[in-house]
Amino acid sequence: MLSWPEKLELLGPYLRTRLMEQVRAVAFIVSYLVLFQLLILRIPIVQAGSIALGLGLVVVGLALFMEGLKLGLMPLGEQLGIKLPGRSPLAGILLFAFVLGLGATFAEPAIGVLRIAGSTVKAWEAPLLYFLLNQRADWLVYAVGCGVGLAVILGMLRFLYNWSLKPLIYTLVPLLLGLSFWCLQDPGLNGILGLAWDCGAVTTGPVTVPLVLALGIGISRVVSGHTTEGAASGFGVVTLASLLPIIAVLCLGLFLRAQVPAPGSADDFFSPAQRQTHQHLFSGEIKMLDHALELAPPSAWLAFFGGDQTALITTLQKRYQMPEDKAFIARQLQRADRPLQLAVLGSTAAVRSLNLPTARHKTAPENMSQQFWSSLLSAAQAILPLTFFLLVIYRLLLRERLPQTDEIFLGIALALIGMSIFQLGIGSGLSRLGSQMGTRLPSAYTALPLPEQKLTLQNFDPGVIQHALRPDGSRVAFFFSEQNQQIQRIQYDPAAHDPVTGQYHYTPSHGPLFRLAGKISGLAVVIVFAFLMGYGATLAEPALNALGATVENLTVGTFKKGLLIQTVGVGVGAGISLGVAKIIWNLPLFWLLAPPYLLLLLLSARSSEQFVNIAWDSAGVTTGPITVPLVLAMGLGIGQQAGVTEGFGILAMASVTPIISVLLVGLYVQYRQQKLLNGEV
Amino acid sequence: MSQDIVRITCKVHTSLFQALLEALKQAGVYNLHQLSGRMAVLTDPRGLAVLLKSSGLSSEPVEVLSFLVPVSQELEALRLVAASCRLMIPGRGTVYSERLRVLKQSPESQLNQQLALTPAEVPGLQVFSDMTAIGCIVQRSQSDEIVSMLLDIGVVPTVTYASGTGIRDRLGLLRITLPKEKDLIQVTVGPAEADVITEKMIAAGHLDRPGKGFVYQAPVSHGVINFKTSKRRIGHAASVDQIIAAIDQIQGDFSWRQGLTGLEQVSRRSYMSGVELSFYLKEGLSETLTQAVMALGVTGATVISPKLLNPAYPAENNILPAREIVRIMVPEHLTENLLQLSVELGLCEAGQESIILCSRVPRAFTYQKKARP
Repeated sequence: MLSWPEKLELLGPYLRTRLMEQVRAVAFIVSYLVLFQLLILRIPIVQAGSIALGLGLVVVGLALFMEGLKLGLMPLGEQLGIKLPGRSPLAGILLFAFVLGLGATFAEPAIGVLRIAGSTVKAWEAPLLYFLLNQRADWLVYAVGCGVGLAVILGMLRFLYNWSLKPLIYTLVPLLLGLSFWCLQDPGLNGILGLAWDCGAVTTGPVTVPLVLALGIGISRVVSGHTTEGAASGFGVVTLASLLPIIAVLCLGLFLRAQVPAPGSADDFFSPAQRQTHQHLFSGEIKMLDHALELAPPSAWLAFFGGDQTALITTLQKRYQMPEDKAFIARQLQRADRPLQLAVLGSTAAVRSLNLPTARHKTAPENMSQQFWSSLLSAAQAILPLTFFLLVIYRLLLRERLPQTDEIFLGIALALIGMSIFQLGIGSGLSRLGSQMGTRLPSAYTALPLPEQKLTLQNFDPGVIQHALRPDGSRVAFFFSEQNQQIQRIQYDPAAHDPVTGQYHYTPSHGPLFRLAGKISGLAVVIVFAFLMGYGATLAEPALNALGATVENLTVGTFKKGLLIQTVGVGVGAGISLGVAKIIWNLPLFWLLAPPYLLLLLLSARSSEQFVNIAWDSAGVTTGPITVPLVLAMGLGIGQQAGVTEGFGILAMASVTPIISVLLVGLYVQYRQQKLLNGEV
Repeated sequence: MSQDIVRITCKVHTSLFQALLEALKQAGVYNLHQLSGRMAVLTDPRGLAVLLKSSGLSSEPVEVLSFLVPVSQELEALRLVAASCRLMIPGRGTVYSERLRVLKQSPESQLNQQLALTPAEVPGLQVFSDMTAIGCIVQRSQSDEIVSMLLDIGVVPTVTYASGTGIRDRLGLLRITLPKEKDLIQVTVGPAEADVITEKMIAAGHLDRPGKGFVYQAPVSHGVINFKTSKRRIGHAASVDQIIAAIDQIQGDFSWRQGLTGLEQVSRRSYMSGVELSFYLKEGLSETLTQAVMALGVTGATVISPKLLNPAYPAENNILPAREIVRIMVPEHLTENLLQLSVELGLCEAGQESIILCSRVPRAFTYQKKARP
């Protein structure tokens, strides 16, 4: 037995190398976000302390989770893969595969992420999309699950019979593009294109990918015969699990298309004549009204009551009296015109207080232990059912004794603890940093109000107001104010001035920071920012790290993990830049996706089986728990400024570009190898 | 029942793998063990590579294939492999043969008996005789120092993955702090330079310190050896490795190269010698075996997990392709004990398709705790 000092001597370097590995993985994205916010946008970081704590948790959690994958989940998957083909008939294997795929989808919390991206969808502009995300959200999850299940089945068949991945790609990609093109032509369907493509991107997460990879590697070890792909055995399921759910969601859209109205104007949509046919999009008339109040222009409110002004006013009044609805109604009323506000609230004083900039929205101090339990719960949901399912199959159906049982159970425990710490850290560190950044990013090219820095000027004297002439002769009112020893020019807004109290409420704004050549330089900054953020977040993604380690292992070090991660990082960066450009200029997603996919068909035909496998699989794992919150925060921030209905499409773009970058690197490697073999170098 | 046999080991570039497999199938070879590996080459870092890697070391993927043939067909088998992969061109691969003894085998286990080989002379092919294979086991991804040292002195190492057992299995769960993943570095060199190179590997890998690794030699009877150490651009009519290869060819062996490597430096270490037993087992049995031999007092074992290919096997058999080879180096007098143990564990029972081979290890080295006076 070892003495305690000896044990510590063993543990010390072990812990240090694993922690340092994760520190290196997140170092780029963290220092980049901090420096960009401080030096370029020049905005102080809010809640710096808790963000720093969160980042520490991310590092510790990632280290534990990755070690858990290596000790527990991956050996379990591989053992199962080795034993399964010999013990189970084909039908049994395929049933197992389907259940695994379905279960993995329910376990991964990524579908919830898509609902955030769709939180601003307007029912009258994209009825089908709204229907899918709200009333038929369950169906959406089932469709994606079936897509993934089918993908795992196809993947298993591929391992068992040594099929090449290429024919599957050549069949699925054109089918997918054709289906998408058809949906593009149909105004009722093209709203769900972004959702469908993003579903493909988010299905494969940090638990599923390593498990499925290990399972495939195990199966490939016991399948007789040999393949040309040699070292890439075990790959391909992730690719299929990214493509098939898109088809499944598009098919679900086709099926539900008849149940929803065609997109139209808000006034028509909410009018009583149409309402009966639209009501099934909502869970009730109240919800429908809420949706109208929240997102539709006030003219549609009137349309909701069939043009009956008094009915609208009494309803609003009634709800304004109810304590649980008061804040909601007040927020929506701010968008209404003054007569309506006056009619609902009754007095000018009440209208004035309504229009005052609301005080800084105080977030309730979050309870750290409560947060920890909720992340533990979601980690348990992602890991436990899947591993339990695998263990049951292994022990009861295959009747095998698990080798190194203690190590595997330790690994599962580490993965569970690691994932919950990591999610806690993401919630309080990384995504908070990212969302501060995302909402402030548009200030690079446009003026952005900063409500949390709201000021109140006491004893406001209207005498300081001055006027300036516009070229057309109209006047604009402004005044000067001194803050922090700097004289600032502030545009005068009569609504912000309260003559009774003598207060002037002022919301400072920030930007545009880059004015060179109009908006272009600011937009260029945003796009470069998006690139570097995508690159940095990818370096830290756990699923990609696991995939990279697997690739390095299978190729015995000829394809280094570092090279793969760097290549994928560059690819994701480029994809996110394109996605941001899509949102800023509202470019059609289909025309951004079709050319890269056609290029990919060409590149895949020229590449070796091994690189096709690795490249397409890397695409599926890029969008994970680190990238998604950062990208969504940025996408929604920019989307709000640009007035776009939904923030979909960025993830889909970030999935296609890494395939291109990895295949290009692969082609270069192949070219160098050929020269070596011919004795040319 | 011991019987002499020849093990042919081919290490060819992955893109030549299909051609080789086809040729071996034509010849009727079965029971072929396949393992992926890498072959190191020096390169000029340029382009994007400058940013991505600091050293001039790059790797080419190779497949390591090994199969057994009767002693009478040793040279024909070597020539067949060399011709089908055109190993005359440097950089494509290496093939060599070792003489081993079959100690035990499962009743149904079949050895390649008579292969359909045409003993054609291959023009331009140089087959060297009486060489030494040096194998070195180090912690995973700590092989780079040794590999670049070897390339610098003009030999091409191949690296494959292995897993090792040793003290880690006595640590309980704390064993996870000592990863079992190892790198196995192998080179094939001339007999005169073998000791010097072994010594240099010990120095480069600090194998004289605890827990660093293990190095051993094994006699190789014949071989076609790849000398291409570099992909760097050449400023002259021939590269150094081409010149060395040409002189090797003129001399017919490597004895002239001893001056280059400095034979006078050999230190006085206490080397070990003994035999290496290779247990070819079905997947999952290695754990049983290694645990049992540790109880016998053996300090460590190396496990390799190759895939069994049967390209020419007449009918579909029931042997799973997942195989494990356990290599254990022991003093010669322990051989009988280990064989006894394998019978007790039932390793060679019918249906296991196991073989136990034995080879001589003239010299091996690892860190040993100094005995107290």
